Amino acid sequence: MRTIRPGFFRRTFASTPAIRSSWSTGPSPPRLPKEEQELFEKLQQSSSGAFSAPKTAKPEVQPVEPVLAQSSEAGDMLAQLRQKAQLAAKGDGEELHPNIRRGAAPEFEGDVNPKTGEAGGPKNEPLRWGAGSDWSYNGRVTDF
Amino acid sequence: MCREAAKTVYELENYGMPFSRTEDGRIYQRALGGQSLEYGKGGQAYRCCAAADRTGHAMLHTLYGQSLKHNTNFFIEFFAIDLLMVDGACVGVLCMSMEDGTLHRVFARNTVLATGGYGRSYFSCTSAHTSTGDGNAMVARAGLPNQDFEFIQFHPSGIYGAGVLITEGARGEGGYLLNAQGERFMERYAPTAKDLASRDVVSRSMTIEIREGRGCGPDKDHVLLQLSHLPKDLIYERLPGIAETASVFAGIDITKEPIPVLPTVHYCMGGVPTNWKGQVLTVDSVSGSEKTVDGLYAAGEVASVSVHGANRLGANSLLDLVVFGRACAMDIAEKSERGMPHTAVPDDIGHDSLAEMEAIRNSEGDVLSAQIRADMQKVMQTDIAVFRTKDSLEVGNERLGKIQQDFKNRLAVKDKSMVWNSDLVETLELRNLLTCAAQTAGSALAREESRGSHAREDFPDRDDKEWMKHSLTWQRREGDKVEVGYRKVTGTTLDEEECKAVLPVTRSY
Repeated sequence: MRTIRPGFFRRTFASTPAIRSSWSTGPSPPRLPKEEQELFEKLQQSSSGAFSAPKTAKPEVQPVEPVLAQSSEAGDMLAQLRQKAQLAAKGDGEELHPNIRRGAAPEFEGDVNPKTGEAGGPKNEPLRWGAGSDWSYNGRVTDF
Repeated sequence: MCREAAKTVYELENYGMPFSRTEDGRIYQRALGGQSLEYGKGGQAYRCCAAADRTGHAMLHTLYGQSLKHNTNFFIEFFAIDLLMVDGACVGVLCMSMEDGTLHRVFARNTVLATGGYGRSYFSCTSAHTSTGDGNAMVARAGLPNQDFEFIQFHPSGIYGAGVLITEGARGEGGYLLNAQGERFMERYAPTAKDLASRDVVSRSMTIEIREGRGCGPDKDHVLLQLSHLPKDLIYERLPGIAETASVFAGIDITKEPIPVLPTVHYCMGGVPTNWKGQVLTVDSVSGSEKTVDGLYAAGEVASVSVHGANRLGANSLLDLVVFGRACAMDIAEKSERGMPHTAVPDDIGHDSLAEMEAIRNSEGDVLSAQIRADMQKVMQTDIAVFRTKDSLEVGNERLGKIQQDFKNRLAVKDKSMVWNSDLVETLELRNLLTCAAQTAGSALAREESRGSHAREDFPDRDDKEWMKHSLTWQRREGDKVEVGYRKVTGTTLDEEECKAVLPVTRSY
């Protein structure tokens, strides 16, 4: 039977040397071997929610050289896509997948429309094409 | 309506409806097409109030809150079957509780109809599934007339199947309509304006293409609105949100496929004729003069006051509803008090309606009511929609006659219980829809001119001399011949000193 090191259950947890917190480990899954546990906790810290690249975008593995010759355009587009995917996540764990079809983005934040001074109005102007057009939200007409 | 509009909005606002505001706290108003100053000569007017993007929802909850404050009794899951009439006055309603299968005769000194329009008589409509003209049909079965049924408002691009409308801005930003042969057919109907032609021209062109067999899909009954030829950025920037609408309601990716669309019913201008107090009117069969029906009021899409005439302007449906709902309430408050006695009624009142319902419940034919409804909707959409000629209307009338005979003779109702019998309730709703459809077809055939939303190819002009009058239609039982009569249009205002009458002017684009 393996002996459990004394002080094993009173281990202090510190990911950065500056912060020292001592807390006893409550009920938890069995801990991994030391290096793997540290790696796991580091990844958890630097994650910014589902469907997004981690905060410290230092790739652990070197990017694999593509077998086929990739044109610079495709590389740019790929980089843009990655950036879009990154920006979509705000790190609170509640984000949607970047490819989900969303309605029109709100034109302004808060309550007051900066262009017209309307408070409590719709976030997207319903008369998009002026007074002669139909009253619509997300392309869907409700009055004309 | 114009005089009471502001007071009504203030009253709603005092109840707590969250209208959007300007910087100095007044209600924010937008411009909407058709609203002008100086009777059309003074430029655009800014009158449209809204509450964020959910005005109707906000109004519903505000009024619901107020109704709770006044201890209103709501009978939920009750289906009104018929009006109870004694000597031409309305004394109450016969209804069925769907929850427990009981039948109720509710007696009241005043009955207000607010049952909505009958959009569901057409194949494609924006209305809810409950928009089945119940109030209109109850009034017809009570022997009272309905007014101006031939005026139905269409929108050219409603998604096939869902009925949700796609904005005309989609065509404005470069989208175009295609028929089954992949042709941009608008070029033939409007060579200069092409897809940017006015709403009725586009609707008529789409209907003609479908009638002539160039429609798309397995039933060849719609056309396609293509936006996939536009660059993706343009779609996302100029038409934000349309990708979501198209994917949710049509199941397509707008950057790759076209949207299936067809002209869709949005509003029914016709309805139960009322005066400005909301009291239902009828024409006395003996003297030919108008009189009000005691104890019966109507407001909203079910009624035809008529403030919309032959074509409704934007933002006027909600306004019509609140102003005349309030008018009904004020008239009732003036005339009634708590604890007034009911009229004496015969013991067997309502029994004939019950007998009819029993007959329907026990029907053992071979055609399901869903099939009859589908047939009726197809006929209305093909023959009595945007494109109307004498031939199409006569064919439509004949087909509707056959469908009504099928309803009378070959109907099958499979569910015989009384509790939550959706088969029975849908069949009763179909009965209501059939009479609305028949009266629409009858009055459309009779009116031989084009006026507003009733546009006939064989009589393309407006004829004020002969046809400046309201159509009245009567149909007591399904399958009966629709009787068409007429009623003068009220050309004067209530008080000529306060506001002079506005004379009609020919509309020119």
